[in-house]
Amino acid sequence: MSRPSGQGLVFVLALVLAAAVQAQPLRRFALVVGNDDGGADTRPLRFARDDARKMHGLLTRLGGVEYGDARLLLDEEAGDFLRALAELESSAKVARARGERTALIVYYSGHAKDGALRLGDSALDLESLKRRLLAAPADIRIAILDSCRSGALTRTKGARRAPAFAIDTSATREARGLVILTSSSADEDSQESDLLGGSYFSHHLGSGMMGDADRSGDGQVTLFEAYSHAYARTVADTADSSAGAQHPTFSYDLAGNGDLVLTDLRGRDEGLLVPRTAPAGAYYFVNPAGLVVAEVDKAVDAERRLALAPGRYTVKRRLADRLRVGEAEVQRGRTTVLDESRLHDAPFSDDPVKGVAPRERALRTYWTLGLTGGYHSFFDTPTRENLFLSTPLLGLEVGLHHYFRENWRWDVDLSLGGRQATLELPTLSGPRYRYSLLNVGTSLVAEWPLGRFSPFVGPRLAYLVMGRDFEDASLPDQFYAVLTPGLVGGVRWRLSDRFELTGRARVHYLLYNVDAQRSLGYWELGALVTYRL
Amino acid sequence: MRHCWLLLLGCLAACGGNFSNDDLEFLNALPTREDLASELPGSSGTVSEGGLRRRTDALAVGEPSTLYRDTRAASDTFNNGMDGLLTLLERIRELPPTTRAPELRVWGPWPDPDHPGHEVRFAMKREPDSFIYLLQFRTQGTGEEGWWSAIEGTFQPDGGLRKGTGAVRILVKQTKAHGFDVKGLADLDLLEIVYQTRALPITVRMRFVPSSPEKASELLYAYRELPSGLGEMGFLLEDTDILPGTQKEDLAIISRWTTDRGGVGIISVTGGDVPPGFTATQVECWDASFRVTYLKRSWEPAVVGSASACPDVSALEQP
Repeated sequence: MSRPSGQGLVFVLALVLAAAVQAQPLRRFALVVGNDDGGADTRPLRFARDDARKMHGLLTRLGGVEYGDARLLLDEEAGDFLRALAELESSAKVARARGERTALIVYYSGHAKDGALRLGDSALDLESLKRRLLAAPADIRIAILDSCRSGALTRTKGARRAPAFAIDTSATREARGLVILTSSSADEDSQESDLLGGSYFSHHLGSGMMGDADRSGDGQVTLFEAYSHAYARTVADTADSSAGAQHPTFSYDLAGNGDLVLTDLRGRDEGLLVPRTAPAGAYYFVNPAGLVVAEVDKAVDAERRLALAPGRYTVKRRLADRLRVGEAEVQRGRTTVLDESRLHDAPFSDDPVKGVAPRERALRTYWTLGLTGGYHSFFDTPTRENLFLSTPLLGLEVGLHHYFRENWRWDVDLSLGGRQATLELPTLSGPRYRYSLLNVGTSLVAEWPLGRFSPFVGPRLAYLVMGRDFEDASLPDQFYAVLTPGLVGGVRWRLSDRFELTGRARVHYLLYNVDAQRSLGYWELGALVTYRL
Repeated sequence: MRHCWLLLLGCLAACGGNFSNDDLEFLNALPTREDLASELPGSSGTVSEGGLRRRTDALAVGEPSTLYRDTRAASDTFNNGMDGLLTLLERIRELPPTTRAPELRVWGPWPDPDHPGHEVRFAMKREPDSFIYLLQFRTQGTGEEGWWSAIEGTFQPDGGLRKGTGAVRILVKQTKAHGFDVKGLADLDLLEIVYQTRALPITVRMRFVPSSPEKASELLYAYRELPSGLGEMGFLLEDTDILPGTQKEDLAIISRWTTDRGGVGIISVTGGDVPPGFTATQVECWDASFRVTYLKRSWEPAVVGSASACPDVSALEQP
């Protein structure tokens, strides 16, 4: 697989898109899918659903997609994806039968791994999807896939340490009318940004669709303009990230007449105008939540228009030594002209871009409360028959997940056991007594999630208090209390979102020093039902 | 985190205990009050002073039984003789041993509050077939050779809870020789208790050895008990002047009782002023209220009450 070089790509696309002159109105259908969850062995994303919402809003507001012709799926499974696609295909087929030109846009933001999109625990094979789109009853089919692998400093999207899914960037004769945009190349991670509150690629694609990508200044943002804008900005923004630069890809096979305009800003008064007289530079438009929703790179003596949705924005322009900051309000149906005189100087520390608070880890910390039952016994036969007896246990357990580190679990447990017994010693047999065991422990275990199952192992420290109360008053009640180090291992099985079942084994060392100093070992088998708080 | 460390330190401080099988075997070798004490029905407060030696006139049915009172007095003497020992052993049971070795347990030494300047310890040793225990004292500052024994005992266990054969010797003479106050045992040189709890009936024999044989006689007590509540106490007093005359006789008394139907007592006097070849006997029965129901003396033809009123204690006639 190869990624077209910048200039070559521009030339080819320019030829293709310049020849594509739109002859008649295009009815557009859009399937927009976002899923933060990629199922087992993936880290949840933060902004995939947000990106999908924004794209859905852009396509219906600026992209010529009627609200009824758009489907927005959030955290849905692959089956839902295919059903929604079938519905749109059916609608497109009907429209086509009426003689309408049709376009089908599929946008996906989420995980991908091993050549498949991952929607929660379900997967959608990319090759199958590609074949499906090739055969879709629409004149133009556009797939925008914002998914890939993960990074470290900036959160990345998709699966880790597995080959990236391949996007065929070569044009084939059979793939006529299909365009595929991906957020990164075959072996790269796609990255999210806390400051942008979304992925770099979707952010710049969306910002470009609002007008920043309109290099020609004709009020239309073509697919090529949007892509080339998103490409340049994504590469620039991710160049210094620890995951490395992210290079979007573009695969096309368009034939026939007509240009593909993604968003048409002509005749739309609603928005914000950066006048020709305004200073050149990069302008950032920040929503009240502190997130950058659009950017404009203004050249000298150029007028730039952004189709911002109605609302109040903070405008930021970055200078070498300070910021220029001001407020702008976009009103419905009106164009707001940015007035430079209403901007004021501000230090870098007053940057209005707050972003989203960094998440320390992808897996959220949570508590579980469990009920446990088990069996406790010593390895040494004389010990378990006449000193520390084998006994069933019942108890409670509290678990703290992903607090110290992802996939680490800290447990605190308390269990009680006991039974009636008869003493059998060489010179003393027959006395009845009650044997009791108090077992308080804490363990720190590492887990390896494998779908619904999570094997785990880790150290445990337990405090045991064993006692026996004799029915005969002439024999004293006895106890022994001791700290015992050990190991615990087992498997946790996720039954549902709230309930888990755990099977585990423990092995401990115990030093006994009353009659004589003896090193003993004991084991415990147990089952645990936990409820996620 | 600080709390975690404090909790850990707390647990460490709370480690240890007395969970020991060997301790139980050692303690099992010590007799208990339940094993040795005579359990005669009725209150000891009803016994009059010197009842055993008091000569009485003929009794009528319904009058308080003097023989029961004498038995009661004997029982109390018997129990009082062991009370100091049993109280000591009860205290030992409440304390964990100070020293544990595979075949040895030692409680103490501690300063003896009753004897300033002295230390006390209780030591037990396990032999292949028995346990030996000693209550020892020494003057503070003396070494291991300074210990002397006030009590010595042995026990041969038979496997069950306090089942076996034991003997305890209270060495009164040695104790007095070290200047210790022995209280009620001042007239004795030795108090020896031999018992067996291995099989029923449990038997306890006690021997009081006087320090001045010319002033007092040696007393032998024997006690048996059956699980049904039947009890028997026998005591033998030799060379005592119990009948009118100048010579001393041998007195033997056997009392057998039930838990709720009274008892039977047999007094036998031989020697001394009793004609040779003749034994003076008195059989007396009492009811649950300790009142006479039957009285027959061998030297008197009259009979008080009916022999059928006596309770059945034949189970105790087996040796």
